[in-house]
Order: sequence, then C-alpha cells, then structure tokens
Amino acid sequence: MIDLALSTACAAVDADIVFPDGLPGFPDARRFRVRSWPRPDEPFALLVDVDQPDVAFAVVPAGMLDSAQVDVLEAAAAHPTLRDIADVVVRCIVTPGHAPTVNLLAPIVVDRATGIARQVTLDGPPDAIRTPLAFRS
Amino acid sequence: MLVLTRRANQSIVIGNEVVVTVLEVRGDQVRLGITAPRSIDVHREEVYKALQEANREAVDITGDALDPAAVTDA
Repeated sequence: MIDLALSTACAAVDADIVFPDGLPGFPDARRFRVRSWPRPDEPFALLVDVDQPDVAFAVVPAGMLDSAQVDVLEAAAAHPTLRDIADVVVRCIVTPGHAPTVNLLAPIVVDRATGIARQVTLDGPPDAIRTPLAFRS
Repeated sequence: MLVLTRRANQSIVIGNEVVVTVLEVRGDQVRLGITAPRSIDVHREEVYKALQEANREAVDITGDALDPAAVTDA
C-alpha cells in the first residue's frame, strides 16, 4: 500500500472516510475511499468520492514535504471528533501541473477511530494554499 | 442580508452556539471575536474563496497526473 496510515483510517471502521460537510468547493462530496497511486515510487494517494468518482484528490503526507511544516497539533485541534492524537492522519492536497503545488494552509485531517475527516484551515498566509511542491531529500 | 449595528464589546448571537463579538474598531478595521463549536468552520471570506478555487483546480487530475481508471484500491 502506498499510504497505509490513510488506508487504515477507513479500513479500521470498515467504512468510508466521511467529510460531514464536504469540502470547500464540493459541499456534496461526503464519502471517500483511498486509492493507490499507479506509480508506487511516488508518495501520493488518491481520495476518490464514492458517489462522484470524477471528484478525486491527490494527497501527500505533510511530513514528506521540504517546506514549512504543517502544525499537526493545530490541525488535530481543529478536528471535531478527534480525541487521541495517536489517531490523527494529516494529508495535504496536491494540485498537479507543470509546476505542482501543495495546500499547506488547509490540510485534510482524518480521525482513524471514527473515519471522520475535515479540511481544516490553519493560521497562516493565504499563499500557503499554493506552496510549490518539493519533497525532502 | 440582515444588517445590525454594533459597537466595540457588543455581540451578535447566531443560532444557539455562535457568538460574534466586536473586539475593537480602529480606523477602517474591525477586530472580531468568534465563539463557535469545533464542528463549525469559520473563515475569512477571501481565504474561503481561495480554498474553493484551489480545490476545484486540484480535482482536475486526469489530464496531467494520471487516469483514475488505472488506479487500484489501497
């Protein structure tokens, strides 16, 4: 598996990853499944809307990025159901293209215990939404 | 749109759980304090619009990164 932590977020509760309020721009996108990236040497995973398969996001662990780090504690505190920090899974949405970017301002936070997810907005400059994608060497 | 006038240190209550308080008025800027449950997201409007736009761009992955039909379950 490419993203074991994210996969077990839904496998552990034998259900989808659920965004109760959707995501900004996609208020009706509630149920997602994790799909493997076709190139296993790359650290991405796909979150695919179960009901609208055209809605799919490439995500990457924030800890692999060579840039200002996502504050996991801040992200976890913004999650509505998270009780145990050990259950938190934090991923960042990637916008592909010739100059791909990653959203460090609004990561996706998943509670492994419940499968509930939210795209939370952290305290930071708005341009962190489109941080150039670069991995730690 | 409901329009209300408030002074500094006055508040507005929305529903049963959201309170918006004017903390300070300085020139053309107003500092607001918002009390809301964790289940309710609060954004600056321009940030929220930027998030919407970024998510809409990010979801268009088929033309560049891959064909979702080629992926497998994780």
